[in-house]
Amino acid sequence: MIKAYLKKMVLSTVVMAWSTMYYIECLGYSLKSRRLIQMVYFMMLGLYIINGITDYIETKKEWSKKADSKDSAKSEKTSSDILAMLKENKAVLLFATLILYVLGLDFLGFIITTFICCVIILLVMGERRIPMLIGMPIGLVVILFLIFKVGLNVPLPTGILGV
Amino acid sequence: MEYFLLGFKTIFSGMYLLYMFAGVSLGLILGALPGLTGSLGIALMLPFTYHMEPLTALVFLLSIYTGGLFGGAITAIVINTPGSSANLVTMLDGYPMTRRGEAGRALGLALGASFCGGVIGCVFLTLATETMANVSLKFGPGEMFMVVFFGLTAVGSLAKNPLKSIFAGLFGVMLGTIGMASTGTIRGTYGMVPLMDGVPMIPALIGFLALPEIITLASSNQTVDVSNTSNIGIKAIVRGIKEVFLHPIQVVLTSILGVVVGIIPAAGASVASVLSYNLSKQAMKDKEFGTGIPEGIIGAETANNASEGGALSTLFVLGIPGSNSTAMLLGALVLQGWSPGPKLFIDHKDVIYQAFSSLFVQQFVMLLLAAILCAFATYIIKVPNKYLVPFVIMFTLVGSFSNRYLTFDMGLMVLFGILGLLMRKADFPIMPLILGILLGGNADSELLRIHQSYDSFFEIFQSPIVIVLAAISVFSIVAPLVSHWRKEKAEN
Repeated sequence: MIKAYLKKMVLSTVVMAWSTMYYIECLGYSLKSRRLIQMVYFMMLGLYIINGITDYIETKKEWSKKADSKDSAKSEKTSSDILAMLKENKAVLLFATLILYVLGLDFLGFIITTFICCVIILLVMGERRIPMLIGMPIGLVVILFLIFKVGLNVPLPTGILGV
Repeated sequence: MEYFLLGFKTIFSGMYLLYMFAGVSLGLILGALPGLTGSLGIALMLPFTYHMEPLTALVFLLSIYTGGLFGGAITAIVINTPGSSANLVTMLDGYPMTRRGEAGRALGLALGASFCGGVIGCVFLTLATETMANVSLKFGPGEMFMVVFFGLTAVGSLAKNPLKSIFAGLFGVMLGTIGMASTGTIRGTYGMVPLMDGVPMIPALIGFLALPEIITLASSNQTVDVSNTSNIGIKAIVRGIKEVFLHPIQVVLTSILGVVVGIIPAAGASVASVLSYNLSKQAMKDKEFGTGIPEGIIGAETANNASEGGALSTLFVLGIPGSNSTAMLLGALVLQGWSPGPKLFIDHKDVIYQAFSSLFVQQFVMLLLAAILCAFATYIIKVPNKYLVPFVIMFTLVGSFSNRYLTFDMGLMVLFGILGLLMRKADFPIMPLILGILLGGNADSELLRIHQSYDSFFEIFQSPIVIVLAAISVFSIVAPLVSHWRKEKAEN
């Protein structure tokens, strides 16, 4: 139960931790510069505590319900968990690709990173046909290049290709 | 009014018409693609508007908004999957008609109803906005500050968990205060120069609103069944459109309801369509709603399109966006250097009235383009997600770069995307967060003005407007909590 509760609280705790850091930083500034932040911070802290308590009560209720129908739930849970894990992995893989794209863009340049990133996304999406895995990324790079570089004069990172 | 009439002269110039056709088409196509919405279209086009004149940007984005509202009805009717929550009840009578082989008629009914609702919403917007905006002329720093608080609570009140919603809104306000304050102090940047001007709007809007949407679409295993759609033809669609005009009383009443609901921040198109459908059901007890009757589609589609007029009036009068799309519209205006808040309409009356004129024209453009698009709906719906996802993702990435030419903005967009997805999973609504980011900076400067103008913060409560806004805000927090508590008590 504790694990389920902590899972529920993790996001609000991260948000609260950042807000606390921000508030502590602002304590060094004049009252004029931190008045709103102070007000908002304490409201957030109050809501965080209330949410924590209500989430705990809810988790406890859910847990006792689960305990009542343990056996039937167990078989259902196994299949739904696998599905959820697969779905979550897709999201994780996509986000990892995007992070790599951002990290590699300045060095490799727009053309290479966009091509590689598009191939990986297509693979994650289940595309296995080679013509599509090559053709679509090339098409996408050309379209984006024409729109942003040629049409809007956006200085896209050139990287090692110099284009 | 004179600006409004002059607006037609401007709007009918070639360039604006072109933007309207492009915007409505984009909104319709994205709305008609299962899993995608018109608001995603606005997010994708947001970076382009930075290079446009304010009126061009508004006309273009409003056109996408108009197209997207109807686009969602196509999937609701054809494949029993609502394009957005606003088209949820359209499905109830639309899909049974498709199963009977009347998809064309159902699409025509939805289109005619959307058109009528849209026009009535526009009439309200044009007639009422100025009167409503005159009230905001009386707003001082106290009222301005309370509008932000009112926006956060009103948007939060409709969420599943109002407390989580307000928490998200306050977090948004915190993010909105990052950067240089009006006192000159630089806060929360941790030495990162790109954050000096505050959290950049395009990465924030795309990251929090569009990226989680597309990642969710990528993670879903959606399959499309279009086996019942052989009867979509222009003739059937036109017959459906004509049929709407045989129900004038229902059209007008449900449109008015849509407008009223649209004015309430966050209620928007989805609540409007559900309420309107239920109202129609109660008023016409002899009809069997849910079996595929025209009245069901008309009730849902007039209200959700009419709510556009109400929602836009709240956006322009109070500067409070009530939905993802209107939040992005406001974001586009902020990019143009417009200050969000109650002075939005007063400061930019001429441009906003011209945009209103374009909204009327957009309804006709939508009618024409949607009739054509409906005939090809089955081909658009069948486009597989695996080809859409890479395109949209790369577009969002390059789009967030193109505003300030910084890779940092791309990284920030991805970070916000992760945060947005986690928030969705943990039932934290995104809208209040966006509202907080958009209005946080304003709230900060208004609070400073309050302390410069009054001896104590509580002196602002001498103003009746502040009292009314504060009372509504408190009510919108307490009422859902009490009803939730009562419900739980009854269950136990």
